[in-house]
Amino acid sequence: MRIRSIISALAFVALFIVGCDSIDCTINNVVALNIAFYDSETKKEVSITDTLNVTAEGTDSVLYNRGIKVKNIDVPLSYWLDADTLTLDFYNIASDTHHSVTMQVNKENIPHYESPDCPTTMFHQIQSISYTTTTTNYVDSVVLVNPSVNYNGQENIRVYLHPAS
Amino acid sequence: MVKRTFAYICILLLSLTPIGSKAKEKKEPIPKAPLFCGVAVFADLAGPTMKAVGARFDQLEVGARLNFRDHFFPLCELGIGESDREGQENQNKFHTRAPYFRVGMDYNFNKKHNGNRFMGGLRYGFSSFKYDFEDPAFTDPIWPSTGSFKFNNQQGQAHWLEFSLGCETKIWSFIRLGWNLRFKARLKQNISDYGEPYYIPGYGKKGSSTFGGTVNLIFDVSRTTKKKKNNTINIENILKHE
Repeated sequence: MRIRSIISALAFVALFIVGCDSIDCTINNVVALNIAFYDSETKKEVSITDTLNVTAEGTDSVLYNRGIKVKNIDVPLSYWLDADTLTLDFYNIASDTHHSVTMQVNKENIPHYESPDCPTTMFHQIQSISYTTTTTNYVDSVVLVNPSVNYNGQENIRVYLHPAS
Repeated sequence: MVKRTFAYICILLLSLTPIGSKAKEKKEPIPKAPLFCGVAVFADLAGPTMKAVGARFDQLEVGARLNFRDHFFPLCELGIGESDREGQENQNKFHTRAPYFRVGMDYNFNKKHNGNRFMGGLRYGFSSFKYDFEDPAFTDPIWPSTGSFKFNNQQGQAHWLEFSLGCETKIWSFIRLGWNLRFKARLKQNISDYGEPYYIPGYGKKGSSTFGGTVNLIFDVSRTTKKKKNNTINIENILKHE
């Protein structure tokens, strides 16, 4: 009776140890560059009134499509390129106007490994940004506020827009 | 009616009192175990079992402990933890193999010295280890490119606490068998910037806390009863002198 109890207990513990396993991947695993829009005079976050599209060099994909009344957007960056060139196109159908900002984001790509069961992700450390714009009366300036692009979803770049826009 | 009830209560109380006092008289005090009862060495059987069944990680562990009063068991445990694993749905790989150690103490809750012990314990664990990981096909979903990376010998360190509950019993002579379940809480870890280790030797799968357990084969040379003094020799010596 005693031996039987011991064997049962051992079998239970062995099953518990061997069977107690699960796959725990991060749920919020989107790594994206966060771009926010600000009023250049009040320095407060604003919603854009125009329709926004974002494209990039080296890919046919539209990174952000038809954003209206958005305060900030998330845009993916390339895994292996040292610099990404992003183009933000603002369309106003009512006034039939188009403004464009092209940003070059120079960055270091940092692979982030989680576990054998979870997909690998790529973090980025932005080293510098530069930009050109088609119309100076729409975009005032573009500023890098946080160089780390990772899971945290923090604001990385601020685009200051003129109040009239 | 009230008088009768009072009388019944008095009779009942009087009848119970002697039984209680008799029971107290019969109960013998449990003899106190000596201060130092002995030592024991033990080996974990769960680790080799996990290795044999192809678990995601396993460890080979041995330990030693002292026995004070058959209640306090300061101990240390040494082991080698190993994980060599590939992802089920991708080609990601992880490998580590490193030693670890724990120090702590178990307390035996069983007041009787009958060979069975019900243990609760606290341990501090530490491991300094190196780990490798790789992703041979890391594809960018938007920019059409595929790369790979491999990081070898990433340095890691971990400190943790373990709270354990378990029991053990005497099987034969000095051989005992016991098991315990452990809750492990990570205190601190230093890891590579490129990723967390999937498995920490001695601790288990990554995370701020985890569960584990061991099944121990114990070789225990403890003595829980005090030696009785032999007066006959002294009496003989006295007689000889006379």
